[in-house]
Amino acid sequence: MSAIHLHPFSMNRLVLDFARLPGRVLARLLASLAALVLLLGAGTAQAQLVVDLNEGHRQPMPIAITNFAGAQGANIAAVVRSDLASTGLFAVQDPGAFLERNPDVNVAPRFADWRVTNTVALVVGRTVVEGERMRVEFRLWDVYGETQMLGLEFNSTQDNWRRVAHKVADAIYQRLTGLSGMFDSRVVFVAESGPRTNRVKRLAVMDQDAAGPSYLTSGDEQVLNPRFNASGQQIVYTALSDRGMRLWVLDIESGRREAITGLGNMVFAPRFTPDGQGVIFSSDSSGNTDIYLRNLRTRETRRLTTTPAIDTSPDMSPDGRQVVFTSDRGGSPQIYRMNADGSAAVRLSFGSGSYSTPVWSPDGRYIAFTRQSGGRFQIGVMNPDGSGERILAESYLVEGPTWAPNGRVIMYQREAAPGAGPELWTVDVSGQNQRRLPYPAGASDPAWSPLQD
Amino acid sequence: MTHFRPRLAAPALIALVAFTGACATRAPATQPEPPPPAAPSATGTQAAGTQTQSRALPPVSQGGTVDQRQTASVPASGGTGFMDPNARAMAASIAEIGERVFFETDSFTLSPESRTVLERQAAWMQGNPGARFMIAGNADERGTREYNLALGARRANAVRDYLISLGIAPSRLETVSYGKERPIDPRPTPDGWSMNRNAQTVVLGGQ
Repeated sequence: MSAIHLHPFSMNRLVLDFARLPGRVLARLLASLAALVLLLGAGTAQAQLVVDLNEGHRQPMPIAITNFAGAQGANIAAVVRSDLASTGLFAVQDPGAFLERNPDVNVAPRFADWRVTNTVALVVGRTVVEGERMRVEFRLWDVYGETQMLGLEFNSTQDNWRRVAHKVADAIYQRLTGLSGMFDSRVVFVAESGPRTNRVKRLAVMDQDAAGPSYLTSGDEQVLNPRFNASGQQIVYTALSDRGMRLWVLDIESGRREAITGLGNMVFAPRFTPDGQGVIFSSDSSGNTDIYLRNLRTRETRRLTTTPAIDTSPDMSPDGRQVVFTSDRGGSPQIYRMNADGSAAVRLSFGSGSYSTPVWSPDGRYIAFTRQSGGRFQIGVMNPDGSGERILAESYLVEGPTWAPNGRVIMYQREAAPGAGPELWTVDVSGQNQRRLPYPAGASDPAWSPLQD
Repeated sequence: MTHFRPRLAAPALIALVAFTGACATRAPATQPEPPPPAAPSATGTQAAGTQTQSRALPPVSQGGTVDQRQTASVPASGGTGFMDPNARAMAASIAEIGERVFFETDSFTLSPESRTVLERQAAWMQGNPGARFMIAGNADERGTREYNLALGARRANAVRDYLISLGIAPSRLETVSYGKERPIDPRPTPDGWSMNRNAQTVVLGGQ
């Protein structure tokens, strides 16, 4: 049984999809639906093409993305293909095998031709340049149902074709999976260069597909563990110099950066709180590392843990009510969860080996972590009560998981073999589809941005 | 150009009319495909013998404006050390008596050998009463980054505490951790890792 089903039209399904769309798109689609109801009268509904995310029997959906007509059209189509292929959910057809070349976005495609190549979903589009502006239009077709599933346009500039392509890919992905998108997002990370004993570690940012990397710091200090705030506009990171560590908050657009002061020279492991008003971090005093919460507006700092053990790597839950962290209060590093005020800490990890770097999924349903066992490192996920642990990736060294904005994919740092150097990899939360990001040099400490507006 | 034929409604499909609360009824098998919503302006062009039709499709929906991202980036520049020339000369001396002590995996316990080295360091410090020191704790690569920063801090403080117990004034001893960021041995082997689990004493400067 193929994982791609032609489902009967389901109202629940339809409402779910629409709930994820932006308001103006939703209004248009609802208007279309109303018109469809009127036209059909007491007629039938259309078959619904969806990607089945059931992990038991997954087969990639065959999808064809034709080169869009107009300026940047082939570039846009190539990025859409690459985005969709990277999920492992789609079998992106080779454009060389297309029978219908250069279809017009405003003419219904020759569906029979596309069925010859077993194409199930088809994307046709064009770009229209008017002065400074570029309009990108596309339609997503259900080849067997012979129906349009989506028709959208985006307005931008030619220079910005790559972002538009990610928007197009997100819209297609969302329509076919029912999940929110993840392609129009960025990754902040540490670009590594130089020998192991004199490593230069610079703050850098690039698109989620490794396009357009740019450096945000000079390399005078070693940058560690950068993380985005909830809007994706700011990064908090640790800068390590000879005399110790400082926390910095950097505004990406303006380049303005501000130190979080008054915390001593041993502050690290920062993350923004979900509301962006605070930073939760750890600080060492006389060999005892504890967790603190800093309010960025009032500059008030509150201590959340007081044990003589190491308490570090805190991450506040998306609802702001709980904190997961690493602690060796039980003898070895393990994952704990406590209330946001520091009370009621409970241990979550009980497998063999040690556990660290816990991080909540964007919807709060899972905690991703690093596990170290038997001389190997692993990336895994567990439920927020510690149950349901699953290992997704293993290598000589993997650490520092970070979630895609839709919670479907985890990115992490991986060193395949001793001395191989760090790379960035992704894995689906199902454990399938492990891929290396094509950033061409050493890279570590990734953090995935939210979906861009 | 596209072939559009009257299409049979699939019998298994659920009637959309359920949405309006009316009874579900099956469409007649001969009902032609409904036109796309939102009133397309259809222009049929009949070629001889073939049923060929080109139809203008309704406009696509507005997906919004996509703005160019702005990213402020900076050029590269070289790093700088923090020791002044005087301190460098003193550092050479402390290196001769042993500037680093080493630790077992995940441990910050001082071995008898380490204590001997630190006793020599304390004697040297007492002979140079104007000097201040930075003790830097380090970890090997077999741990996660943030935990290893905390582990390095523990090692640095274990050294500091022992030096204080030997009579060195606390105000002369700062600590820092470099975690696993500054290995001295590049080998990714047990021998290399054991070299990188250490605490280093560095002269900050005379007064």
